[in-house]
Amino acid sequence: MNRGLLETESLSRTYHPGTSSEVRALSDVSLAIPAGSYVVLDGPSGSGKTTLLSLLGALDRPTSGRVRFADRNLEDCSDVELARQRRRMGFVFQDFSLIPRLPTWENITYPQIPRGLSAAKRRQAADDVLSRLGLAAKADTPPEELSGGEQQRVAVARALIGDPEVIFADEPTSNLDRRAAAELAAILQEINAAGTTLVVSTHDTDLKESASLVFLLEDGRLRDDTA
Amino acid sequence: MSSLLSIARTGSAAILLSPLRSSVTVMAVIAVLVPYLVGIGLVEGLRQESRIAIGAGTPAEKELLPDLYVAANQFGRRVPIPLELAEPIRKFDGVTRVIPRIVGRITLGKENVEAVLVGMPREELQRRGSSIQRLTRLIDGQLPRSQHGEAPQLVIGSGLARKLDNLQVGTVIPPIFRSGGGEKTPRITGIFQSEISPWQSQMILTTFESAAEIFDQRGLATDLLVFCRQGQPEAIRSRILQSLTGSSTKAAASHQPSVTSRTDLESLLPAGLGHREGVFNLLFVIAFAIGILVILVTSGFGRPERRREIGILKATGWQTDEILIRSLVESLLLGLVSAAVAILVALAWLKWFNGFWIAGIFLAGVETQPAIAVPYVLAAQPAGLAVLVACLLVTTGSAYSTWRTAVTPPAEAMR
Ligand SMILES: Nc1ncnc2c1ncn2[C@@H]1O[C@H](COP(=O)(O)OP(=O)(O)OP(=O)(O)O)[C@@H](O)[C@H]1O
Ligand SMILES: [Mg+2]
Repeated sequence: MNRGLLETESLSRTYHPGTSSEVRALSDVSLAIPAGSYVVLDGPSGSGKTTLLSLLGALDRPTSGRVRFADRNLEDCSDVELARQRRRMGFVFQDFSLIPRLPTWENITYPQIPRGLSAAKRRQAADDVLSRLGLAAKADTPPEELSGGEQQRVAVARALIGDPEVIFADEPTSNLDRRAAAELAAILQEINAAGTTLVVSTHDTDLKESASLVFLLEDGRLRDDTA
Repeated sequence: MSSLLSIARTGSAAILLSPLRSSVTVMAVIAVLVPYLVGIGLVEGLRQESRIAIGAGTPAEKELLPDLYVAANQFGRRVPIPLELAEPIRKFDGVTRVIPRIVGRITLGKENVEAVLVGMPREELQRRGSSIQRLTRLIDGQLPRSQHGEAPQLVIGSGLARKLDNLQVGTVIPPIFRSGGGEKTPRITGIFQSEISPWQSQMILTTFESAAEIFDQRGLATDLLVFCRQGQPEAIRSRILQSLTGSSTKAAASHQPSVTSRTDLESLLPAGLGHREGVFNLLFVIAFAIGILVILVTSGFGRPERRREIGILKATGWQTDEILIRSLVESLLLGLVSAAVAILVALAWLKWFNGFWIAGIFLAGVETQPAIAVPYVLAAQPAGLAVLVACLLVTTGSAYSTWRTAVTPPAEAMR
């Protein structure tokens, strides 16, 4: 079997285990994501898409099971190593998660600050990405003054900035109107065409059409026919 | 190294990213620090003032302050001392000068303003007027002299002059009422700067003769100021006590002398102030504890945003230690800013608002709104302490929650 860029093995995540509010959000998920693929995670609300993306993106630790990213088993990684793995990934959050009051170009390049990049270099990198996404004019605007579609594209730009091996996007079009959604779909396809692996959770049929692989989640489990 | 610098820079920028949180924190720290700084400034100012008053200041000032104060007691009470007792003391070996002084309480004008009249020989006033700048700085007119048959001449403090309908040099002072009931109408010949020290705000200077006339007490002084050669005061003190007690003259026989040395005063004054300072330090410890609580509460301002922000940083590849450095720089800078503002506010409070309210805690008889210019010294040490405390307060206030968030998985922190 072709070893994927990302692989999970019996991955489970239970929130608040052992309490009355225990939720088994993800059960026993095993899947492989080949490098360069365009993967869509589909499934109804509450089926565990965000949970799975968080585990794949090293934003959370599983209750049981394993996640392998390239040559690393994430569950063996220390806190510092996890941070290091995250620098090889990009994440686009459903709610954009931009830092308020911070100009767009700073928001995009904030992840690079600990790498010691000079402000001039960061600005240059931001301008490059922003013009690719048609946002060159908004480099100095803080997120509160951007439309939803623009904020979403800034979030994509931030995910792109470190030249990641994989980009995760959690329902990237759910907060956008039809036109902005179509624009974003085109951008994602372009990113994937350039060789970056994409893992996107969505109900959007446009996005599903571009996908090379679709996983369907139901009640925290992978539907057999998609694995 | 350059990455550390970049992180530190984001820490300083972070202050502006959460303006509400930052300003609330700064206010809280200022509220804790300003009373402390104003209080310490006053205590220090008073200490210096009193050191000058008792001559612990510069050598030049020391020369003008007596080594011994000789007073008389009858039936265990202070009474005026007969001037004739000055004569034998003057002849003692090692005594350079004996100055009789009259200090008396009077009320002035229709407003019944209270004041203290101090009378000393003119040569002595001259000596003081010329060299003790801080004690008697004439800003107008001249020193008083006594001319037989003429109205007594007075030099009064500028504060007092203002209180008395803006008295000018040359005007006739409103009637003076001394405790005995007599009434005199002296003239003002000079005004001295009285806003320097609380001890001087109510002071009126005149010649010994005029004072004696005003109080109608000829041949008596309140006390004798004895100046000695170096190293002699202790010996002379015991000689005064011996000779006056065993004296055969009528005047000496009925009076028991009491002699206070300047060193006695020097050791007494700082102790008295130190006591209040101790109370104040205790208050400050309490204030510090409250400050930590306040900061903990105020750091709750914008905490959800902060949690999210830290979550975002972590999710985008920041390491825990990098986040902690960023937050530490932010806290230290906030502490510095608060301390700097607090020091400025304290200075303004002391300088322009005259220690409003806080001065009342330290100066007996000073109201909420002091009528005199309060003395203050804001030294480097308390200022440095303020900076330290401010940084400590802000850092401890945010350290724990920041660390807790920074070690939480980002998915949870961002929720
Ligand atoms: N932090 C949490 N604490 C408790 N329960 C949680 C938490 N996060 C998610 N859940 C629960 O886990 C389940 C899966 O949630 P998840 O967010 O992964 O679903 P989703 O597929 O992303 O849904 P949506 O399409 O609405 O975003 C849901 O039942 C949700 O209520
Ligand atoms: Mg979701």
